[in-house]
Amino acid sequence: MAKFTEDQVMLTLAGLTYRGFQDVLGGSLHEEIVSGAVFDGLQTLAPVKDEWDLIWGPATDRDRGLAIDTNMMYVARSLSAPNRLVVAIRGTNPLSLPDWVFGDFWVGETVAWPYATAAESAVVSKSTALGLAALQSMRSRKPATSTIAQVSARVTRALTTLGRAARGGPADLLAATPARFEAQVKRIGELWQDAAANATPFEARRQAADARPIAPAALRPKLAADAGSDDRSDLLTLLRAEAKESGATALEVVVTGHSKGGALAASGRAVAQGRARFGGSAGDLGSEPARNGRMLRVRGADARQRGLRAAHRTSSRQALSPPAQHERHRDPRLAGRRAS
Amino acid sequence: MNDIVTRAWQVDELREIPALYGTRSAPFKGLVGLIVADVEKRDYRQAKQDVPGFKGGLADTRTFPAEFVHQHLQSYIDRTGLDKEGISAETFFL
Repeated sequence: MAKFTEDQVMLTLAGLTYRGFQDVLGGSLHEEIVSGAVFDGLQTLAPVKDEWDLIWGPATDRDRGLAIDTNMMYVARSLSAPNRLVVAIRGTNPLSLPDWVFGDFWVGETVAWPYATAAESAVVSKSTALGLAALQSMRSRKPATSTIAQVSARVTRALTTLGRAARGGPADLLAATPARFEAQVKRIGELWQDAAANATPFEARRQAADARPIAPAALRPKLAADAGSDDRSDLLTLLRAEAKESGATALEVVVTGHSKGGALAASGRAVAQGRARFGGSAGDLGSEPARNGRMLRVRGADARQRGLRAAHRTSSRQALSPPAQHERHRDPRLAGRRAS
Repeated sequence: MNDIVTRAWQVDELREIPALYGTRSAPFKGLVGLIVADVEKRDYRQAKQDVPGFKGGLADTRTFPAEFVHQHLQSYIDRTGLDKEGISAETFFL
C-alpha cells in the first residue's frame, strides 16, 4: 500500500469539502448529493482510500435567498487509528459573491474574541466571526453504517448525474469533468470581471445587503446537552461524545481546510483550545482555563502565546500558505472523561 | 507567491496584485484599491514564521480565472505531489 504524507492526506480531505459547491438543489436531496460526492472521494482518491470513515456531515449552510451553499464541514474518522478525527472545513464558494463579500472581505471591522483573557485581548475579523458562528451552528447526524454509506454513495452519485442533467449539464460524470471544470472556472471569471467592472465599495455592498451585527457571544454558543430529537448534533457536541467514548486512548482532532477553510481551521483550533475540557459541571467545554502547553500540540507552534496570536493573525488574513492548513488538537486529558 | 489569496490582507502585497499576471490581472486595479482602502487601517501583517513559500509556474495562455484557480489550488496539489496520484483541481470541483 502506498504511503502518503500528512500534507497529502490533509490537502485531499480539505479539497473534498468543495464537492457539491455548485449544487442548486435543496433539502435532503442536496444533502445526499453532497454526502455522496464526499463518500465517492473517500472511496476512490488514493491518499484517503479505505482509510477514512465519514462520521458527521457533510453539513452545509445556505444564506436566505441564495441558490448555492457557502460553508461546508464534515468529520472523518481514521480507520487505522479510530481515536483520530479530522474536521474538514470548506473555503470560499467561488461562485458565491456574498461569500466573497462577507466571508472573505469583511476584514476592515472586527469582533472581540470571546476566549481571550483580560490581560491579553484579541479580536477577529467579521468575516472570521461570521464563518465561525456559522460552523458552530451547523447540525448533522452520523451516517447509519459504512455499508449504508457505500450504497448511498452509489445512489447519490447517480442522483448527482441526474441533477446535473436536469440543470442542463452533462449526464456523464467522468467524461464531462474537464468541460465542467472549464465551465466552473469561466463562471468564476465572469463573477470577478463583473466585480472589477462595477467596483462598489465593500461597505456599500454590505449596507445594501443589510449585514447583521455579529456578537462575540455568537462565537461561544452554549453547548447542547445532547443530540436533538432529530438525532442531529453540532460539532462540539459530537466531539464531546467522541471524547467520552474514546476510552483510555486520547482523542486526537485535526482541523483542516483550504483557503478560507484554512483560516477557519486555525480559528476552530483556537475554539477547541478555549473549550478544551470535554465535560465539566456546566457541560461547557470552556469551563476550565486552557493550559495550552499541555493540552494543545500544534505542529510548528509551541504554546499558548504564539498559538492564539497565530490563529488571530491567520484568521484576519483569511488565507494561509500552504492553503491546506491543518491544526492538531491532542488532549491527553480527554481520555475517559465523563460529564459530571 | 503567485497565489493572489495569500497576499491578503497585507496592503503592500495587495497592491502588487494588478501586476501579478500582467494584462490579465491589470483590470483589477480599481477593485484592489477598494480592498486596500477597506483594510489599510488594520495594518495586517502576514504570519510568516514556519510558513513555506513557493511560486507556482505562470502561463500566459491561461485566462485570469484559470490562472487564479491554478495558483490557488492546482499549484499546491502539484507541490505536494498529489498530481502524480491523479488528483487535480478538477477532482474537487465536481
